[in-house]
Amino acid sequence: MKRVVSLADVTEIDLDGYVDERGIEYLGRAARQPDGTWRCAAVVESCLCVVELKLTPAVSP
Amino acid sequence: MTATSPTERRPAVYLAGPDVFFDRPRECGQRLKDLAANFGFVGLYPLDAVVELTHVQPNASISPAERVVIKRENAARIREANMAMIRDADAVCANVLPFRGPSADVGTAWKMGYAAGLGKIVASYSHNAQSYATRVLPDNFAVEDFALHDNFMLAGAQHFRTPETALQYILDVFRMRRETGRSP
Repeated sequence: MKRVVSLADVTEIDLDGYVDERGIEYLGRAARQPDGTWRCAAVVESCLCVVELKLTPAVSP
Repeated sequence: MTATSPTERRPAVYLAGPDVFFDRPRECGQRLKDLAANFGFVGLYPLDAVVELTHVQPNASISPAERVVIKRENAARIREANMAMIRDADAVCANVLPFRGPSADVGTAWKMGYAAGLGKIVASYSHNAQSYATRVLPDNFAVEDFALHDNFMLAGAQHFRTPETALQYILDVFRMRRETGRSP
């Protein structure tokens, strides 16, 4: 059963190990910042970085 | 790519950076140590230091003042351990990504200065290609725009975009020093 969670209700999202289409590997949890942005530790071209994320809620068909 | 023959001591590189604050810091450290090993270096990661810390339970019957003293003693032990590792290292390779503001992590910056003062080779890297002046938010204070990646006092360290290029620079300096008869 799918659990539907609103982004507004969470402050952390586990992205550990996720690699996006640009090859960025996310480490650990993304956390919502006080200004509403989301940040997560990531490996970008072998550099350990903090990246800002744009989270887009999935829309059911 | 390696720095030494099997009989030589492998140079040690202290791997500074705010990655110790990331979610999986030991894995971050292992990644960096693996990179350093590719260049023939022993990577020294801050979390590898053996530090005896005093742990106080939240419900322990001690005063707030005693709790503060214990926390600060723990901080001093970690600081001393980090400093000892830097003294043992031949070079420092620092991740100066902007952290909690437009500049490098302040602890990392301090370590770079400490290492430079000890005459160690210091190199830094960051994937962020913007200049410091670009990253600083407008305020009523002067911004020194020297077209550098961070405060000019950090620019004594050679700066690169990736840890590999920073480690390659350190390796090149080791080789040059060895060729000219200087120890690392």
